[in-house]
Amino acid sequence: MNEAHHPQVEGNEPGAWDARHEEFVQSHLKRIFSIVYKILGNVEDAQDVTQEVFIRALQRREQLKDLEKAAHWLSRIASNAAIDHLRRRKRISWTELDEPLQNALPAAAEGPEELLLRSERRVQLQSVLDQLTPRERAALILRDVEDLPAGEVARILNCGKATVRSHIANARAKFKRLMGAGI
Amino acid sequence: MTGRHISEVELALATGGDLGLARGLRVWFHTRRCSRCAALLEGYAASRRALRESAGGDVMSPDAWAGLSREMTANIRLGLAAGRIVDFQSEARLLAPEPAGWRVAVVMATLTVVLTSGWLLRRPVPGAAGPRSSWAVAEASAEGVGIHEGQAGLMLLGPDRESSVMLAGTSGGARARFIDEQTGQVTIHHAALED
Ligand SMILES: [Zn+2]
Repeated sequence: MNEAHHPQVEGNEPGAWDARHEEFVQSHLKRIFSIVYKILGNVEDAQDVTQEVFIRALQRREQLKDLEKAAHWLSRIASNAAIDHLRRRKRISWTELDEPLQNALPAAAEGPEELLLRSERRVQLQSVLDQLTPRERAALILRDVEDLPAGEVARILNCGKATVRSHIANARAKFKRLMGAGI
Repeated sequence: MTGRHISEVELALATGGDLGLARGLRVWFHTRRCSRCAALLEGYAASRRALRESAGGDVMSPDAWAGLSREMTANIRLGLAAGRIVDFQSEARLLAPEPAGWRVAVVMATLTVVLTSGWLLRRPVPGAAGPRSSWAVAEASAEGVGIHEGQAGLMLLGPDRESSVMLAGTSGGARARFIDEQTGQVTIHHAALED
């Protein structure tokens, strides 16, 4: 029974922080931040957008009743919020990426050379992704990095399957060309 | 080679298995016999592997994530509480007569305080490039926003405790929005940490 698993959901006043809020945030925060970060390529912006998304989600308690639906819904609003953010920002300052990522890279398993290589790859990756439109970029990340099925990506991006396939194809073609050009 | 070559769009889609069964099979048969299309398809596959290698996996180390996760959770909690204040105010306004000129009288005043002193931000760590071991805190509370570390700090007090909306965020910053119920004036205080 739902109430047995989440006894505090129905009883608390709206917006009051409870154990289920905490559980919900901890269950999805990393996944959502990761999606948003990969679309935006900037830790600070990804943090802002992620926080905003969770606040909006938690303000709508009815969205949290079905956890599986909530997970999909979160992905959708997070991706769209990231796309909106990209559009507003227009131009992304990728230089901001370096410093937090230096700290962010997994240190234990990699030596300095691997770290450097990985860091360089990230910088190259971001400059290539920067050449894509926000929707192409989001489609590419969701499909090829996050491994979501194309139908799910279409739902997230609020478009038809044909449109999303066009975004994916364009993004893959641009990505291949630009990576090949060593940008 | 068999018939016409496969288009780039189809090759790009075939790479991730996004072409559908019939067209996917056509690409498969074609590329078994056409070295040109096979090479292009392999190019797409390599590019997709590079993307997954560069962008896949965890974004951060466990330590860095633990810190960021704590910060974000605290901000989400704060934002949720702030939303409750706004909701409460909205309900109160619906019940009370609307103050004259409310919609047009919103004035934004932004005050940015940037603290640059190194001792406040972090203790010197010899040769360290890792995550901070000592944290200066940008904090939004019911009183206002401020920055402190240990006993030292600075706080911008808000004009009206009851109508403040606090948001801490953007890596070392905190914002507080104060709404004057009478005039509708909105004041935003922003305290930011800079290295
Ligand atoms: Zn061919």
